Amino acid sequence: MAAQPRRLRIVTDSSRNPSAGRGSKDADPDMAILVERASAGERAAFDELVRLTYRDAFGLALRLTANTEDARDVVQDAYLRAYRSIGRFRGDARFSTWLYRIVANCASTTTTRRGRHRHEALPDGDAVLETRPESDPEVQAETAELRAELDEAIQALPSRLRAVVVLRDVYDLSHDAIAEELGITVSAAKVRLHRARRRLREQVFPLPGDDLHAI
Amino acid sequence: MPSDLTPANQLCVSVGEQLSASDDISLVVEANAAHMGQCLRCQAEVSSYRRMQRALKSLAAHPVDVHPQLEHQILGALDGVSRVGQRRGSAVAAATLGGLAAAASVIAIASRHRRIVRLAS
Repeated sequence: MAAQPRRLRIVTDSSRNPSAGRGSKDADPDMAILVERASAGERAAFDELVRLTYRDAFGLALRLTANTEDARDVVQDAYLRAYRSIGRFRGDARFSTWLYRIVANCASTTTTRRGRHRHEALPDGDAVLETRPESDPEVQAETAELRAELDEAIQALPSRLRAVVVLRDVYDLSHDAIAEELGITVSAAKVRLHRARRRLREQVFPLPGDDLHAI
Repeated sequence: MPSDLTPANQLCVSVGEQLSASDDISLVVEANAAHMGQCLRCQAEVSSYRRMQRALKSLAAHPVDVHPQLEHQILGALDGVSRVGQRRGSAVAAATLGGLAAAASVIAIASRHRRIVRLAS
């Protein structure tokens, strides 16, 4: 099992190409082949999958835990779990989606175990950010500044709300998958998502009358 | 929903709730078209949610800074698991060989015993 790692184009889940590769729903055929080889027990193929995906996995873990050290532990744990269970990966989803679910599960375990609620004491509206002119928001390019504001607002959310909005709106997991990995009902996941979105919107795009809505 | 709100305010609150709950903003706009056409606040809220959704989607494509040692840490942890697995595999193989050898010995002894018994009778 000493196959040479192959040089591959880096592909993230943001490439939403519907044409699936062989054996799994990964958009990139090279990725699908790697997944097949790793599923067959080829360690070098799994290492290559790690190299291709660990940055995204760390990004997710960091957004879920809001803590760099925890995120590193979560990612390491997630890859160990993925390595042990890659043989059972059926390829009916993208590898990255499968991995995101494992990361979400590990992060949920970590945040629950550590009971980290450092951000929950932040009062609503305490860190109100700049109100933007809404001249033509449909055509405005999303700036790095906006992403940074959103990232900051996400980190300020309570962990229960943060997890669902990150998994649904950033990483595009289904409601069912989110509920399963967080150990909650689909209804609870939807309620949390609704609250998280509202808080984010009020924080990043405050509007007159937001206090009325908060009643 | 507070009862002292005007009907228009109540609609605004309702639209806000629908926007934060929905995965498809255009459905909310369609469902509340009459109110949306005349309420600037709700129009602004729709725009805000659209911008927010786009920005959230774009976050995944902009990874955060990663510690340079993380890749090595992950691969190192996998090496540890692989070594344990190989040791377990070796132990299982050794146990299997030992078991086969023991079984062969028992069979040999038993057949020798049968031959002795046959000769004696």
